[in-house]
Formats: sequence, C-alpha cells, structure tokens
Amino acid sequence: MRSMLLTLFIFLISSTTLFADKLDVKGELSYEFKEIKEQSEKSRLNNEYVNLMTVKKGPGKEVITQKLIKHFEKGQFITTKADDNWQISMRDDANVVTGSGWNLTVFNDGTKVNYRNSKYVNENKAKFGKDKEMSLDELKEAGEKFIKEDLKDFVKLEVGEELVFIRSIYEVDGVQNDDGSCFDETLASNIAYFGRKKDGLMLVGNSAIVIVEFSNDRKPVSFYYDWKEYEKMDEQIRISPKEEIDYRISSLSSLNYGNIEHLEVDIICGLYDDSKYVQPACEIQQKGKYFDGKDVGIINVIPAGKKYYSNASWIELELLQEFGDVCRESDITEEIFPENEK
Amino acid sequence: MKKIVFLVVLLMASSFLYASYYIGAKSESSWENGWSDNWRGDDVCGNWYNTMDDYSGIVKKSWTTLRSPAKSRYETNGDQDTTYGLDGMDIFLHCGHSGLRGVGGVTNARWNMWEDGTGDGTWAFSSNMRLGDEARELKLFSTYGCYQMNNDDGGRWSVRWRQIFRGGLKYATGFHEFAWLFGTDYAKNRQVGKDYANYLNTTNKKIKYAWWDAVKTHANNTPAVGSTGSYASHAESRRDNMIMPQLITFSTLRDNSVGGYAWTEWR
Repeated sequence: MRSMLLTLFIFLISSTTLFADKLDVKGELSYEFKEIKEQSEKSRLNNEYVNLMTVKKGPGKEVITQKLIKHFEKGQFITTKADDNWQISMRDDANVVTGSGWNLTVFNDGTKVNYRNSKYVNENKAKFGKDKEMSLDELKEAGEKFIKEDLKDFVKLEVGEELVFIRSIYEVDGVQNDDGSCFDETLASNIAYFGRKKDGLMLVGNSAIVIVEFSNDRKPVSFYYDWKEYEKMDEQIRISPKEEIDYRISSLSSLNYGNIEHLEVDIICGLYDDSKYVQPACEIQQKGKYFDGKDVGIINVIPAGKKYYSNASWIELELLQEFGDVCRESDITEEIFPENEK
Repeated sequence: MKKIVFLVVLLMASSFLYASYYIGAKSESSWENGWSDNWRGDDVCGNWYNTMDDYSGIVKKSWTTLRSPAKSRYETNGDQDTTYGLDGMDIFLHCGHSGLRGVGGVTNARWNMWEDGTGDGTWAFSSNMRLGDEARELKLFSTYGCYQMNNDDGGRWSVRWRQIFRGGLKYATGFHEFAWLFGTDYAKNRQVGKDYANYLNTTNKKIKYAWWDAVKTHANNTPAVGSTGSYASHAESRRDNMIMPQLITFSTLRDNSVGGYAWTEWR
C-alpha cells in the first residue's frame, strides 16, 4: 500500500513538471505613463515656463544607513535585523550592510539606496509561483502603499510632487533537463517601477526612480530608490515651442532613420535632473537595428528650454551650446524644416 | 592522524578564503572606418574592470578591444590564451553588441567585434565556443549587450548555450532582449559597471541579483542569467546561490555531467 502511494505521489509530481509550460507573463507600461508618453509625443511640453531648480545635497550615507537600519530592524520581509552574520563595510562611495540573506547598499550622499532580502524570496518561491502575477493595478496600489508608508522618511514628496507608476516587470525562474524534459517556469517576483512628477511634469532620464519588488506571495522584499530633494529658484525658463524641440531632437539624438533600420522612438518630456540643476528636457528612447543586424537601444536627453544652465555632465546640452542646431531635417519626426525657419 | 586531517582541511579552507580571480573585459571605443557607435558599452566595461579590484583577491588580467584577433579569443581555438582569451580568466565581461545570427542553418548567439555597422562584420559564434575547460577555466561570463540569451525560438539551451557551458562554465549573465544605455550620459553608463562590480565583490550579492540590481535602473532593460547543474533542480540551486567569492567552490560540470539548466528572465 505504501509503495503504491509513493508511486502515485512520484507520478503526480513528475507529471506536473513534465507538462509545465512557459509562464505567460510580461511586464507592461502603466496607463498613466502611456498617457504622459502620448501627451509628450503629441505636444512635447505644454507649459509656457518652468522654474529652474537646483539639486540639494543629501544628508550623507552614514546618516541614511543608520536611519534605515533602525527603521527596518523589526521588519518581517524588509528586515535589517542584526544577527551573527551582520556586518558593515564602509567604502568611499557606499556603505554596504549584510545580514542573514539580506543586504543594504547606501550610496554617496544617501540619496540612492538598494535593499534586497533574497532569502525570503528563495524560501517562499514555491508558495505561489504558479498563481497569477500581480496585475498593474495591484502593483500600483501595493507599491504606492509601501513607498508612502515604509519609505516616507526617505522618498519624500514635497508640495506639488506625486508618484507616477511607470511599469511592471516580472522575475521568472526556469529549469529544464539537458534533453529538454522537465521544462518549468515559476514566478519569483513582481516588480513595480515608479517615477516622479513635479508641478505636473515628469522627471525624465532616470532622474528620480523607485523600484519595489514583491515576492510571489505579494510581500515587499526589495526596494531601490534614487531620490533627491530640489530647491525651486526664482529664475524661470521659457519652454521652447514644439518645432524647436523637434529640431533639437533631430540634431542631438544618437540614432536616426538614416543609420538604423526599423527605428522605434518613444518621447517623454518633462524635467531633467542633471545632478546640478533641474531643467526642461525630453527623454528620447530609440531602438532598432544597424544594417548588419546589430540590435541597439539608446537614450538621449534633449534640452527643451529656450534658455539653459550649463552643466558639463549633461553632454547633449554641452553639444547644443557648442554646435547649436545643425540639421535641417527631422529624422525622428520626419518633418522637413524650411531652410529660412531657423 | 587527526592533526594531519586538520592541517589538510585548514589548507583547503585557506585556499578558498584567499582564492584569487583573474578578470578580463573587452569593449570598443574606436570603430572601423571612424564609425561612430553611440552605444557606449566601453563606459560599462571600463568602470566594472577598474572597480573590481577593490576586492583583494582580484587580479586584473586584461581589458582590451574587440579588434582582431578578438574573435579567436572567444572561440575554442584561441580562448585558452592566458593573456587575452576568455579561458585565461575566471570572470569576464563583454560590453558591446551581441545577438542572434543564423550560421549554416543554426541560429547562433553571437558577439560582435569592432567592425562598423554597415557591412558584414566579424562575430564570435556560440557554436564555436566552449568555455571553462582550459587555462583558468572561465567560471562567470557576462555580456552587456542585446539578445544573446534570447529564447524566442526555444533554442537558447539546446542550440546555443549548451555548447558553451559544456566546457565547464558555471554562470552566464546577459540579456534576452534589449540592453539600453544613455547615448551621451557617461555618468549613468559608468554607474552600471561600478554597481555590478561592487555588488559582486563587496556586497557579495548572489550573482543573479548582482546583475539585476546593476542593470535594472534602465526600466526597459531585459536581463537574464543562466547556470548548469547535474540535473534541473541542481542547476536551480546553483543559479540562486552562487556568489563571486565562492565561484571556485562550486563543482565544475563538463560534457555529460551537465544534466540540467536553470535561468531567470526579467520580462
């Protein structure tokens, strides 16, 4: 009797894995981010003026490391609990804290942080890996709740600022035997990307980002943020008209219809933190193939203000200042600009 | 007798504790015919290479270009070169174009060399690659480039990576679709290389998460990792638990001792 039950058990287990399929999950853009993209592609920036902002220096990695450790020391999923394995390594550019199955890295001035509890993910992977992934709405709600409650002292939203849910991504683990048998895929985590709006304008070019990961039992297990505070200046920057922005996009984008096949372009306009100032800009995401079949994906950040404040680390702005607008035909928008227009 | 056993164990343990790793990277900043490739892979490789030796056990072996004879350094006829070959390293990072390409009716994973984007250039092909069986026996092979771990046709393992891993390679990290970079924002590109190095050598993250955490800041990136095992669940355990300082302690599996594969895709 016992051997029959054992055989049945083994059969049931093996049949489950033998006939498992590729897990049909794929991340997508959120509705609100699609709207921002559509708006940007239609009219670039609608504002007439924006205030120049400067980037405030963070409180330092030591302060933030201590605050985070204290904040999460009793956490169940995001935990910084000290035990025998707990250790801290202080480097010039980051503090690294490791515990049993978790690690925390606090970079530079404390405005960039990465935390992961990989132990919890691994131990609970089998729990709900075949259940449905978290939907866009679920990820948005759970991510916002985590950021606004658990990270509120670190990811601060000032007056006029809001979180923007950007997209979902899913971590999928798979296995198979050498002969292709036992193919199996399991959902390991659900990942939510958030950005930031300031006075109604999206921060572009990876200026401000929060990533929250939920294990497959929907518990928060990892977060990453790059989040600075800004100071609004009295100085106002006039936004360039759409035609002028398009002209710059054509001049300064890395890829164009002449050097790439099947070029796809996404444009998101808003504000860009160049590490010193925050100024109007458009992020241009370009992907396609070179003629020999090389796939390529490149992002450029193009200035969108009539006036701009120089910072050597924003290379497109440096190019604009040095060479001006140099092309007569928009490769991105496929518009022809009359020679006497500029 | 007990003393001898203790001494042997101590010696073995100390050899792991002080294991040194040879690292190498190849990328390109100067292309054929003055071609301007705005995909700045060398920002990633250079900063990864220079940050890796913060770990005392790292021996920086070579950071070189993708010019001839780079192809042979990837493929099995020249990968044993102890200065430039992939098997001359323990850990290697390629930062440059990559992808899939049909060769003789077989869709290969390929790694592009230094030619411009207009002609029919030189590639290293997966069907000519067998890593981990010579010289330092490459253990971790990473690529910052597009599509080399793609599985849309179902041939990632059976057609492409099986051949590479059968030499004994333990872990690979790369992308199943696009790898994005800023066209001109050098600082953010540089950070990807620095972060991958720091997560490997200081944070001691699992290799899987060292890769993901370094490349995830581009929201459209589509990374993937892969590993082998004696059977599928063994491969799964190796995929989830390998960290850089312990790479050497995980058994080397070659040819028929490779019985299973494990992967992770972020999609």
